[in-house]
Amino acid sequence: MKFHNQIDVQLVKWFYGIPGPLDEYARQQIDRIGNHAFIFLWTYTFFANLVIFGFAIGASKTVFVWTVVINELITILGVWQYTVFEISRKHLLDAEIKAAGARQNHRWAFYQALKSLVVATPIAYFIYFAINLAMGTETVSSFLLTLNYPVLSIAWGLAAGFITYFGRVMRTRYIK
Amino acid sequence: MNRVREYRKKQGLSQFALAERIGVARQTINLIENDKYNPSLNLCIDLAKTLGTDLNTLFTAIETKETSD
Repeated sequence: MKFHNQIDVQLVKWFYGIPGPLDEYARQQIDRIGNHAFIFLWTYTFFANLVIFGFAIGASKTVFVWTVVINELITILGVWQYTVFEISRKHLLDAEIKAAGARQNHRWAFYQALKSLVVATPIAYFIYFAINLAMGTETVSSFLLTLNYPVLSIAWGLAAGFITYFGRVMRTRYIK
Repeated sequence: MNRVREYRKKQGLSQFALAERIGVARQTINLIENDKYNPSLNLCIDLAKTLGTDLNTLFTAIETKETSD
């Protein structure tokens, strides 16, 4: 049970990127933010499905693909940015650690950067895929066989990773 | 108003040191001291124990002029 709790705490901390202890204040804020995100996602998904099945599916391929891309941007990037903004506003991203824990903090920042890379790369790849398909510049097979798009997507992922890493390091305050 | 800040200073503790002792973030202590967060009963008890006092002393409302009138 203790192991399960530890995994649970680590998962929540990793997902939301909280460097400090997951105390009751942090939990309360996460619950609030998570609830807001869930309410938004549920409501948005409901209406987005109505739009897709009532309108976009009968429209041209371009309209359909753009509808999917916009949905993707709103549900994934929108909720991600809302979560980061709210957590940042509540100062839960600010790390205050003893100078001796600097190495551990850099490791934490590295894992967070890795998380950004892992999330941003497939999103960028999917967006390139959808846009190229919608514009008719590539077919599915030509897109999958082209090396440009994976490279560009990884570049976006790396950029997100660098921003995350340096953002984390800049928000760290060392205490003697 | 609570008296967490007053008792913390009496003990010669920084916000960070107090937070570390009871296993919360420094921001949480800051919010409690500024009456921007109502801690749970368990956290109140931990605070009182660490600051060497009791709940009544630590969290009994300090009467201001407006409330006493």
